[in-house]
Amino acid sequence: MEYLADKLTRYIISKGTISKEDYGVYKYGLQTGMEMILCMAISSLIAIYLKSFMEFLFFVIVFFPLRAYFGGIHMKHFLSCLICSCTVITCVLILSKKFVFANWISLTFTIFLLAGSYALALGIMKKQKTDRDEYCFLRKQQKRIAIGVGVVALCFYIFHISLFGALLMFITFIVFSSLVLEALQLLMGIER
Amino acid sequence: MKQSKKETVKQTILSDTIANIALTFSKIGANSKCCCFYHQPEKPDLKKLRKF
Repeated sequence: MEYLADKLTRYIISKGTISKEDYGVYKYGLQTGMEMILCMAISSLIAIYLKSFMEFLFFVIVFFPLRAYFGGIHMKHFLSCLICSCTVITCVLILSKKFVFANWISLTFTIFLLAGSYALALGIMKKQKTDRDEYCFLRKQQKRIAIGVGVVALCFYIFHISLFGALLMFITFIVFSSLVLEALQLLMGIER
Repeated sequence: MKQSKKETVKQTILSDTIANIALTFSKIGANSKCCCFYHQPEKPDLKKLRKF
């Protein structure tokens, strides 16, 4: 992906669309964009195969903002990331269909895991010495997303939508465990 | 001549589209902790793209 992003960035520089100084910014954008599109395409195919496309859509809508603003562990290479992402998505889709939880269990776990993720994200940002502007912005976004997800979980509880309630619990569990792993990585000083 | 002009316009549109897509993802990256699921390519200086 990095090779392809590099080639495309050089192409747009050669056409005069962007200047040489912006090489890094555009290459980063292209690389992340292509990686995400490929990951989403493969995951969509898996979801279609599992006949869980709606659940997959819900997963993406909730998981992406949580992951984007709370953070979590990262892989060193794209291939390991791709395998990990697809495995996680497949497991969540299968598990949420296989196991039926009482609505109050899903709600309770979701709220606890969200609170845990919120606290962990704060600790990680402090440890990483995030600059003040970024810290305030991310904190605000984290609060908004946590409240939003909490409200959605509550709605699922009230209206007895157990499949999506369980899905939400699994999503928050993935985010929480990913944050725990990142915190451990930071504490042990392991490079990603 | 006309053919070559058409080709140039096509290439410019293609190049602009690629640049716009790249910029969109860079903006996402600049305003979040991570924008890939489990992989984070090394971030360049994206401060000018920040909303905050």
